[in-house]
Amino acid sequence: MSMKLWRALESCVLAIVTPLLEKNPAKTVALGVPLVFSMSRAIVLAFACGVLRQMWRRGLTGWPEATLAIAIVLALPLLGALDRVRPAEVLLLAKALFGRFGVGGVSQEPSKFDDHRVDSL
Amino acid sequence: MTPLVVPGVPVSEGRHSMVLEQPLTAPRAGVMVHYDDSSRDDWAVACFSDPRCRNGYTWLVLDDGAVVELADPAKRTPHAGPCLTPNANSAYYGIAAATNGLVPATAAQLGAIVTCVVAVARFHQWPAAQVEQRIVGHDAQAIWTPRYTRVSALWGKTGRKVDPTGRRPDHQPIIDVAQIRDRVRAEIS
Repeated sequence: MSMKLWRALESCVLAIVTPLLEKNPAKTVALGVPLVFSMSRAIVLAFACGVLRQMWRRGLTGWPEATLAIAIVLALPLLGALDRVRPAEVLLLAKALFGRFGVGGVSQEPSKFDDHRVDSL
Repeated sequence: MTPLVVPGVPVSEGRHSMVLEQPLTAPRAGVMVHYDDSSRDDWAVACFSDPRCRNGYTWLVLDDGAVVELADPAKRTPHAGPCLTPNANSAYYGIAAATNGLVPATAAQLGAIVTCVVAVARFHQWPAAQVEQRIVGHDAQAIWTPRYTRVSALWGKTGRKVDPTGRRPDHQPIIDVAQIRDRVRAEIS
């Protein structure tokens, strides 16, 4: 009876941790252990917990929080995709993303926060 | 110092010093039309009491056509920013309809804007033939500079602002500057 309970508990725990396990066989085959946790997945989980806690306490007040939530949802599929591409391609993607900072960040709609005091070039 | 009174401008309420105002750095050359991206008149007026507000017009026209004078017309306000015309904050009076990029200006607002512009044109004795150059929209003047974008290809080009035409999906302008010009031209001819 206790053995049955133990196996059920083991299956349950395994099912719970499955999303955190390393899915890339190249990273697990050499270790010779039954379970290998993925550091990146653990980081995404920790980050999600932090953001969820913040939203629970402060609420979802604007695009920054919404963007973080979207980033967390997209993080695992992106990590999975990045596992399959060459490092040079990852660098190119990062370069393109960072290159977008400061481009198009100004709203073309008027706003009371527009600082139009400077009217020279 | 006594604020300048432009005869014929139907000021319902004077709230001078609600926006940043400074002496002119260039003579007045025309009127720039805007909308202020507000959704309620009382909020629109209250916004200009916010110390964080760095934007402002000489006149704000509410939905019912009431004109709120936010600054002394003899002074420049930060309404234009970098434009094709140098010193645009001084060169143009700033007049804004209290509306946003979705809601077209009301007939009363358009009527009040025309009345104000006609009054200014008469005050400065601008002839009807110059209406085209005297009445401009912010979108036709506001240019990109390194302060607003890192894309050097845009620097010096218009497109930094979309008011007063706006970008409604049905392409209906929030304020049709051409229509304003026609009405002003008809009034001062």
